[in-house]
Amino acid sequence: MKLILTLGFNFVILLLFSHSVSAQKSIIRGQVTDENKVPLVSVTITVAGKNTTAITNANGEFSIEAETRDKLKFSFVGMENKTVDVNSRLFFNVVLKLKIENIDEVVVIGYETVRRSDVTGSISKITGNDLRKQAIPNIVSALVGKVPGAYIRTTGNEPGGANSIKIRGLSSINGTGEPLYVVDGIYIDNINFINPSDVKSIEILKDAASTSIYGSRGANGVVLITTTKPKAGQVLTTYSTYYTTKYMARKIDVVDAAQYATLFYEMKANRPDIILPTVEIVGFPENIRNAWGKGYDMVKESRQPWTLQNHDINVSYGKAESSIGLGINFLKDNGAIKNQDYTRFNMKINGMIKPTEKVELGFSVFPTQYIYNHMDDGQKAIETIFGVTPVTPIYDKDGKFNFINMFGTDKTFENPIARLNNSTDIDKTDQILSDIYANFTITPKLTFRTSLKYNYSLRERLFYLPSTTLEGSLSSGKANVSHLKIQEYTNNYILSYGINKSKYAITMLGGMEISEKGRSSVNSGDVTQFNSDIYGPYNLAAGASAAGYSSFKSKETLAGFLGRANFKYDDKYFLTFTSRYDGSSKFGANNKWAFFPGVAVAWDMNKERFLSNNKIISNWKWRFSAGQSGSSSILPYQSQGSIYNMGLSKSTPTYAFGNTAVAAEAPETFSNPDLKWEISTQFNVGVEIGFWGNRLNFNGDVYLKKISNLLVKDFPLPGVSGFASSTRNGGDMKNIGFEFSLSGDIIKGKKFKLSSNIVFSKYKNEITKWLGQGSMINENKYTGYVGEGYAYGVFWEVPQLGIFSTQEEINNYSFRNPTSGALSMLQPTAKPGDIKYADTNGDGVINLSDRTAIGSPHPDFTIGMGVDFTYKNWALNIFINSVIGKEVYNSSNVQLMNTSLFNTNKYDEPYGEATSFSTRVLNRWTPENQNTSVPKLGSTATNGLSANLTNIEDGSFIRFENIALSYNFPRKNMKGIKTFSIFGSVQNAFLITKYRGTDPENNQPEPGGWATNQSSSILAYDNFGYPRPIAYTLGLNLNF
Amino acid sequence: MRNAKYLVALLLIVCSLSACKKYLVEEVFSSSQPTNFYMNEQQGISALNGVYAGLRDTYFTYANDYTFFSMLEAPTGTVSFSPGFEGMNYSAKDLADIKKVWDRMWVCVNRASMLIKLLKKENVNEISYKRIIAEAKFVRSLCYFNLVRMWGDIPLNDGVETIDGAYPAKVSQSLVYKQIIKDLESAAVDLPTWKQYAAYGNSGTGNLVNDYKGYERGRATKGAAQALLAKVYLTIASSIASNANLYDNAFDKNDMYTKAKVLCASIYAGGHDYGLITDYSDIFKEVNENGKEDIFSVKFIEDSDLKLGNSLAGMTAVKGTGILTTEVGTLKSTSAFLNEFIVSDKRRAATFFLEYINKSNVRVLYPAGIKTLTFKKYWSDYQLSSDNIPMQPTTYIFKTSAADKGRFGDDIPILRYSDLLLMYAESLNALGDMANAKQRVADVRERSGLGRVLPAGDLMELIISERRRELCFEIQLWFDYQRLNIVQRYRPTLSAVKYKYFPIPISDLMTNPGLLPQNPGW
Repeated sequence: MKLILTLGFNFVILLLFSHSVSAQKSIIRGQVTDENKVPLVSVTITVAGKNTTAITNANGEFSIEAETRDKLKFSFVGMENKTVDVNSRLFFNVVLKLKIENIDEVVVIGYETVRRSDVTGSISKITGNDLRKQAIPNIVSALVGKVPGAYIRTTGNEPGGANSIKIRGLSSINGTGEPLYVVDGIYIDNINFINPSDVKSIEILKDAASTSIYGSRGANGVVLITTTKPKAGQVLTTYSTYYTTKYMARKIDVVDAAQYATLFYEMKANRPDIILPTVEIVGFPENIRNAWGKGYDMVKESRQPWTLQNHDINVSYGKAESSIGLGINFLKDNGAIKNQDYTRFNMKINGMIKPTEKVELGFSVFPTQYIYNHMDDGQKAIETIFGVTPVTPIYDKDGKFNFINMFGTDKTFENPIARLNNSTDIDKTDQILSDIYANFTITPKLTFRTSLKYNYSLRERLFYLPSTTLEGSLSSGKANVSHLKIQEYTNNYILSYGINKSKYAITMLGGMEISEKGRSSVNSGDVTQFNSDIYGPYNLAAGASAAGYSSFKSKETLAGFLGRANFKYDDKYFLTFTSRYDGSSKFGANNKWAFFPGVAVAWDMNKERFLSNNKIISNWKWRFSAGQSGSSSILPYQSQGSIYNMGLSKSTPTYAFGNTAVAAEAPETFSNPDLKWEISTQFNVGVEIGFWGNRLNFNGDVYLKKISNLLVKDFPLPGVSGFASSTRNGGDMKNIGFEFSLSGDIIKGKKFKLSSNIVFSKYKNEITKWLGQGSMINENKYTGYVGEGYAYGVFWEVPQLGIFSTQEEINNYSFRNPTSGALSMLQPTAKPGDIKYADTNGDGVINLSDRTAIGSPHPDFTIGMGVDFTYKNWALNIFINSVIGKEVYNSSNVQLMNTSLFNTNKYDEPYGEATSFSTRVLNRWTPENQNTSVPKLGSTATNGLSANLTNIEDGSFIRFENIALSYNFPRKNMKGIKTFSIFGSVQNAFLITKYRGTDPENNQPEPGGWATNQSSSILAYDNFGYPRPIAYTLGLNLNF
Repeated sequence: MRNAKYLVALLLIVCSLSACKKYLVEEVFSSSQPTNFYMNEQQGISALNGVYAGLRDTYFTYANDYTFFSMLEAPTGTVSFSPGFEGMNYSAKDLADIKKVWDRMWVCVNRASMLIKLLKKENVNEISYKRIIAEAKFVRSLCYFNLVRMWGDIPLNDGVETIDGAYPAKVSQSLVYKQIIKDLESAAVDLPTWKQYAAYGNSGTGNLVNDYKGYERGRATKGAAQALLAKVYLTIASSIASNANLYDNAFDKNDMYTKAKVLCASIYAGGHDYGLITDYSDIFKEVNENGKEDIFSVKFIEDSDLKLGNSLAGMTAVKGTGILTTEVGTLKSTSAFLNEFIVSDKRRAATFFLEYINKSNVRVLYPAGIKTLTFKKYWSDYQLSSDNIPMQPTTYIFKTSAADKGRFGDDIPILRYSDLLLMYAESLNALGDMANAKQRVADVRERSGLGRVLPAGDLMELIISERRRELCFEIQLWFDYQRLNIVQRYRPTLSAVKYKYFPIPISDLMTNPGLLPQNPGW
């Protein structure tokens, strides 16, 4: 320490001394480094006002001739310029700081960027750094609870599982209802494969004035993802990795063998009318049923270590006139269930070259491969596993898989563990997203940009059931191979023009875009009768029997003209006009084109004189907007009607005359030439207020969103039409909503920092018009309903009032006829232990006409709350998410809470499908246990009502979504390493909920949860959803 | 700025509106449209095959859905099934299954109506055109006939081409019957007899055979249309006679009986070469399908992957015999019904599954208990001993592996010659010609080994009990109970008005108010 002081003192003396020497030319030397003391090569040094220049050498050293009064200017691309006075110094150690492009200051709004302060619409922005605070392999999950007005959730927790983003309530009931995803200008359906570490920023366009630039694709909101690009003047290599182990957070408890015995024999006694195949369960004789013990635990047997690992390497190199970036990402996500996993391999290549000052050419390519292994089977397995009774052996005496069911007489039990162990089920997608573009700066004010984007994906499904599974043995092996190819081109031409004067600025943009999407598929159908299992799905010719082969091709086109003008006056008043005119091949000839306008006004009130000197308020901006966007998210050919070639396909058998099957065709849909765009009209008022130098920020929006001509893919038709459903413009819907975020830097100390962020969203959905009367959405699956005056998808059931505990209660539950005054029993056939139903329409009869809305899949509101603590090099991030006031259809109850029928065997129709019971059934009504909420075993109901408890459950929850702790190593002692940090996190650390399934956010809109083409028509439906784990992660980030 | 002008001009050239118009024309690759279909004979035949497939789906689908069978057999008291179907007290799942049957029947009707309406007459050979339209009318009539008997007032579907036609409202039963009669009358004119049939062959396939038991076996014939029409007339007449349904006085009872009698008489006169097969237990065998006794049936063939097979055998196979791999055993007969057959009635052994031969070639009396009694009308395709006893296979050697799964080629009979004889007898009896009526009943009884001498008593009562034993498990009895107003006799608990018709699916009432009101009591 003393030494340093002495040296410093001497240095000052030296400076003072040299100052007296003036106006003398001398050779000045020195070294230029960056902040990490890495020498910078090719830094330009100029003497201000003179022609003298020099460049640093490979060691960052330079020498230049200058006078004492001169100033030296150091400049280097990507670094902040620095000017130093020569005075009399002869040697300089110059440190150039990295030029921080403050990405918060720029917002991507679609086809262009604007300064954050100039934004007129309702746009939320999340930076890549925000995303990376949590080690989450997909970006949608990382957004949960962070975007005001967006209901984001993980709907499938299986490896590579599905997610959902719904912006400002339910916007569409057809297609996915998911927003338009635009990755660097490329339209894609699914962003699951994107590596979060490639993300620079995500902008979410919420109001229609913002989304109308995307016209027909923008109705569900737009999510713009900008990936990282190499920075000029920077050579950077980063490596990051993390490893996650996951544990079951909640599970469904099922009965053990001894408990099952009690229920089995009680049900048998209560339902003598049901015939059992045999009277006794093999290995579990009735007379010693107390000694049944635990039985077999299929759930335990199905598990494997549940882990995830991720590796990222990125290299980028940039200069002013060219740059290149390369990235590789590898992710392996093992499921909770045997042999189930998801592997993702990503590459990212992007680059740019500027052959002249006025031309920039660039490209990006994202090749990706992702492989789901046993995903569909795994999902099915969960349902099957829970269906197997605890008295069904998993292995037989020889240790081989058992296929004999509990009664020991029939070979009709598909052992799910055997299926997972022995079968092949691979779903592999190879995908390339690519973009090449050219920018021409015609004049400083006028630029032209054109780009061609091409997406290609090939999805391959390889499926084989060997004869070591029950199903495979019945057909001597069963294979199915299918390919689906999707190709999409988008080509656009954009011209922009800008004037920037001191008082006002105008930017204008106009252009056109055309795109074409083609799908084609080939499916082998089921190939069976293999003489050996050795080929698996890789030699279909080895199967003697083939049926149901098919192929398919479709094409759709879209053309659009777009324009936007931004006006700014005095940095206070902002005005934006947007328009898009889109045509789609999918609509009827007279309805192909639609115009989507938008207008937005913003007023930066804080710049007005009356507020400009306010000490408390540092920012106050109003935003008003109105606009329209549309949706065309239907499959092609819906307006034309089609004749279905039934062929000889397996799924729709034809007919046989004599002994010969014949080809057949039949109408599949009828034509609908009036089919037209779904239009979303939205009005938005927003305000941004900052206090105390923006240490506390409030950002709130109120909106009204009306969706008219709702496209409904499966609009139910009466059976008498001969069609189950058709695609129609089925009605209108509206969402009224309110959202805000509040963020504050509570403590801003040098060592200790504390900031917090709250995000609140609320919307109210209502169907304002529906063609015909209301209808059930998918009656065979759940009880969701759509009808005028109700929110879409409310659960439509006859309300249950509990259990009749005594006969007296049944006798007293009566109806008084208003005219005759006569009393009649409302549920005359009920027995104690049956369910008591409400006569909602007061007609004295309880039947399906008494159905009403008993719950809603829409939350009352959602709140996300994040807290960031920083202490020296430590950082702690806690994020809590909660969804309040929504109900979920817990379909697992159909199997596990079936108290009315005796379930002996999954294939034993019509006695039901479940074979085991939830432990909740142990609390059933019995003469000894009269005060309970669970019906008796063998309970009955009439008039099409269910004798079981409703499956609607409270799905509200508060979840500690993420707790992450990280440590940045100090740079000392780390040669060649720029930053190094390690982190650990816990996801889903606590969950507070009354929901009884594995997770209240589970949703399987379509079977096989991971499918990307989910329909949003079914909301809040959980059928043995994949359990959400508690996940512990450890990882490191390294930059050098 | 000058450059900009060129660019704007370029943009407009690249995509002028007319170019865009062309760009947005929807190209179709993998399906036809109603506008370019039904254009020629081949397409007509293909669509007609689709109509038959629709008919098959109503009776039994590849997904092992036999709800139609359950709906109409379980309430008769002859089949023990789930309590919901036996007592017509349906659970939510039962109602969902009933909705499927309803939907499938209308799918079939609509397919037929579309074909009848849209097939381009000028592009199709005249004989083929007539045949195609007549077959479609026959199948549609059969569907309407089932629908009107099951649900009462129903709409008529004339082929839905756009959304406007998708909401037809209910019409009275008499109008439905008039439509059925009109269609069947014209079908009976245009359809060939089963002997003539083969001459047409199937266009383009070259599979011309001179024997009807060839390629076209199973299509609707003139005899089928006449027999079905006779059944329609008799249903109307007997419903009026029994006060079960007066059809708004739209029909004259005696006129209907007479028309039924005339049709039965013309078939009986021998123009079509129909007759009784000597042995009752041979009726359902594959060699006898669509032949002498089988006037019309819904076809199934033994099949492993195309799923054109009938697995009612599997549904009736009792668990634990080892006869089939898939022994579901949910459809059983009641022992009370078995006791209605005297032992000397040949139909007893042919109808009920009383014994089987086990692996060691030993006859096992079966069933062990009354609850597991089953019937074997849909077992004739199975490997049977010489005296028609199912055998437990030593190895699973069947004709195909499909049989192993219980998917046989047994057809579901719709119209049999013995049914026609009993209809003939019934109409003769109603019109006072007792002597001839008795002869026709005697024809049927003689084949069953009961001799030609009729027991004493009311002839109509005898016809009823003969129908019961002759046609059980063939989806006939419930309709007989209803038209003859005799539900009280066999199922007193189902004699209320409510059980006369099935409930219209509630979701249909919600989407199509034209179907209101719901059938009484539901």
